[in-house]
Amino acid sequence: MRAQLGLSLVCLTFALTVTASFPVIAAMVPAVTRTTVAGVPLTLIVLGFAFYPVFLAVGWFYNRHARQLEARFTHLVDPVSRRPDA
Amino acid sequence: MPDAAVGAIAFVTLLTIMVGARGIRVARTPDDFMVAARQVPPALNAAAISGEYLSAASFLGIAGLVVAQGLGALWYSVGYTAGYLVLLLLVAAPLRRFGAYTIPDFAVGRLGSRGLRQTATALVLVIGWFYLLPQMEGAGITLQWVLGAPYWVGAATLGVVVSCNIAMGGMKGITFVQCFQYWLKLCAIGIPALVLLIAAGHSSSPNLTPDRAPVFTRATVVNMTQATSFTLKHTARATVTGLLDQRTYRDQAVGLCACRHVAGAGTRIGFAAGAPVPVSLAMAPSSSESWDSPFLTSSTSGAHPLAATYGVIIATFFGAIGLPHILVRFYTNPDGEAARRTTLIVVLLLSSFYLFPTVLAVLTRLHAPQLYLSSDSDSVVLALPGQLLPGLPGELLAALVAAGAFAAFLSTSSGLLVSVAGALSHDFMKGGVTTFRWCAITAGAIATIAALLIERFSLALLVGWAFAIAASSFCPLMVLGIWWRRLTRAGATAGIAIGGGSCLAAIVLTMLGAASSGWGAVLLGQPAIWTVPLAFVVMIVASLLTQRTVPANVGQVMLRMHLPEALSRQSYRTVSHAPWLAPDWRTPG
Repeated sequence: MRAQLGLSLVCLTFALTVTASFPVIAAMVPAVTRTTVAGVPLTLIVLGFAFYPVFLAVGWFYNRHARQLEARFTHLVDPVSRRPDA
Repeated sequence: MPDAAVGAIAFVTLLTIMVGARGIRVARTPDDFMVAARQVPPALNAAAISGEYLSAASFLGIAGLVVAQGLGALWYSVGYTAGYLVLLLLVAAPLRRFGAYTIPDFAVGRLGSRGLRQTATALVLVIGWFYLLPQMEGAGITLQWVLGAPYWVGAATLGVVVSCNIAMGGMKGITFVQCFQYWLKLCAIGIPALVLLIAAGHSSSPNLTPDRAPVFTRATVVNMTQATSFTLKHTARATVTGLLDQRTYRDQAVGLCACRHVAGAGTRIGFAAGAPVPVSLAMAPSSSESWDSPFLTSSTSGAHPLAATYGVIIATFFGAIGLPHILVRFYTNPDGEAARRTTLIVVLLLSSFYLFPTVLAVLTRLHAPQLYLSSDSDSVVLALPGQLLPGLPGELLAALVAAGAFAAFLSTSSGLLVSVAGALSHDFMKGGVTTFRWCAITAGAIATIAALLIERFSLALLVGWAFAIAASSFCPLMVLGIWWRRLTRAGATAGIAIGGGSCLAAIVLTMLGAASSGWGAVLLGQPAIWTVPLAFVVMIVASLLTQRTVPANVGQVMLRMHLPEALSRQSYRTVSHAPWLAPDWRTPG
């Protein structure tokens, strides 16, 4: 459980840092909001499109590792599944 | 224009009612629903969750707000999606293993207390009604736009359809229908967005340049459908026919000053390409931030945009965990692992949906800036197809959008009303199926009347408030309840009451117009920035003060929530039917 919580918190911190740092950066370096990429404002690209792949990647990473943690724990507690009703 | 749209809306509504009628036979009790739904594969379940989740705010609200207030409003769509990521990371699997149907059930199962249950139920009602308001409002706006009917017609129609439908017994168990609703909504916003994107073509427009007020990209004649007051940012020359600033013109060239103007209904104003776009009062941004600023300034004032942005980020990121109508869907996953997979797919489905409101908003800004004269930011999405594609194709697309919007109102308000009526009938009235029906009708009526009485706020703002209340009451309860053994009844009750109560008070004060500038407006208008930390702190401190009352079975409950199924199947074979969890749900009356 502690390992699961740790994993959750690491992923959460990462996702929050990525998203929540954008307003601070934009406030401190106003040039960021004026930047355009091929005529499209950077703000639009970041807020409209760029965050979603990050969320998906974090979620996928978390699911993979949570499953591994559970498998390891199950193996540790019950190395050979020998009960007839399992 | 209305025929196709009316037909499409009627079709969606009838379909829902028919399914509701079938629901009487298919899903009579929560248990029927649960048993049938336990087999649901993650992809289907995820679509059902998304279908129930995407509401008026997502469908109409965000795009409208982006057009009116600027790109900062995209934080709402980012937050609505990120809410599910946070849910995945913090609660998805343990919650499924715990197996509670509702948040009050979770509270009682984890901490076991009647007083706590009633506090939690009261907050379910508050959040539910807050969330229902914008759905009613959206229906009012949509029917107003489609039929020209007064605002109350749409709100009342939705209220009647949804309450009667639920009172008749439908909607709750129909995972498949909610799933269908998701795909309907995705098509209804995705197809118009793509078609209009192609139709608009790729031409550079000055309206995306940072720090510029919008200008007409080509000569445009604007028809005022109703008396409108608008402002111009720069002086402009225009050809006017009809009443403008209390003078009647007939096809005359007029020099307009950079100030406020009032045009009568039926007035036609022709602008040349490059002329500044007039902005109606309802669409005027609330701050002087430029349109492409990444800050959100849509609360009552434009003060302290950074704080307001973080308020919305906190509310939406942590609010999804505490929404009363979403939790029950997690129980339909076969196990915790599937719950995690489901949530990840939900993030994917929501991400793909939210691309399209953005596209529509940008298209409006680029190619149909005359919509800045709309009387209402939330009707922009409905009006856009007609502006960009004249004739039949535009009408058909508009009909599709209207039908999708109505599907959004129907599905979300059904889910919410089931939660609200369930909470009312079960926790306050101790009634059976008949009580549930009356509660559904009463709750629907209250929501409808409230929607008619309360001043109209932007849809996205209203839904954002519902999230703020959820984030500052149930989010701490769920997160601490799942991960912290030392949580006590007194702590949980205090946290929910103080966090949720102060958040609600701040929002009500904002609605009454208590503070309109400075820090007061930000802290009251986007209260999550202080109420969420407050709720966590109160819950933790009060729990630490009452450590003697930690429930005796906390170890067992924690084990249930965190033990992988591969092990729990051996030790607790009937784990998901533990009778002490939801002692009352299954014995109504």
